[in-house]
Amino acid sequence: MKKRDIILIISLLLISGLGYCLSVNRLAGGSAYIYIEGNLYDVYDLKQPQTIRIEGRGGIIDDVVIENNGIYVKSATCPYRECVKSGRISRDGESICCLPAQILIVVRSDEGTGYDAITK
Amino acid sequence: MMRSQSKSVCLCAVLSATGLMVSYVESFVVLPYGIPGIRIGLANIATLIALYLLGGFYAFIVTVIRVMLSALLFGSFSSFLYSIAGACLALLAMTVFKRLGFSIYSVSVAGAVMHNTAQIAVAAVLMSGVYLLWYLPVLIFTGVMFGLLTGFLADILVKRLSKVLFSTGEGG
Repeated sequence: MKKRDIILIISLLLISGLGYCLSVNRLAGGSAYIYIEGNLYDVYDLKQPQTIRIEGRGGIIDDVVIENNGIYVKSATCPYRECVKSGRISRDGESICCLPAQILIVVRSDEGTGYDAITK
Repeated sequence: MMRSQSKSVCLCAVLSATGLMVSYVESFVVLPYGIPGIRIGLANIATLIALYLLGGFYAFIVTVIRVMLSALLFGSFSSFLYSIAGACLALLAMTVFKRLGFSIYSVSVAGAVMHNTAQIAVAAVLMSGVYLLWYLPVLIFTGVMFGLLTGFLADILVKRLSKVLFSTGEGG
């Protein structure tokens, strides 16, 4: 390895570390926005525990559970179940996506400050 | 380095087949992280070998054949779109970094990071979810780590293969 290789690798690690620090300092989430094929399907309050059944593209069914101010996909009929493996999310800006069904679950804070306000 | 075209075509076919099988085997390896898109990227070794031994054109062929066959055999059309976007941009990044004179480690890291970035970008565009970009720091980090690993393996393989394949009467 040459000097420039080490510089490249260290700078990439710094960028990812910086980005990670930004991403963990996010606000606690308030609502879960569920999108199907890019369109907003519904918004759920994370404070109300419930189980939702969503049908995405190609008839793929996801069972989504809301509890303890978080949300996770309990079961899905898609082939790889990446959405189930994603686990529970609860912070502002975190998301679970199911690519085959084109279902996207995003947690956003209700305060409307922080990240939301900056990017909009 | 002089070599016959038939030798290049043969090696190209072997590398495509190897890449395909390696990526298939790798799909059984479940990494213990809850983030989709983290892969070791072992198939990239085949692309790296093609890039170093045969050049950019053959590396492109190896990549396209692997991704197409992989999508036909094990995937779907949408997975093909993600894979081809990631693979082509990764190859572009690797070619550029190789031209700039970086070592095979950096070339591999650049490919891995670019692959992850392209896939998350395609996902963000297709699903209009800018929020997916929050995973980018983690994906860059894993890209660097696994890129170094595949770069290390590819470095060994390129050195040995070039000795075995192109040593007779060509002087390396």
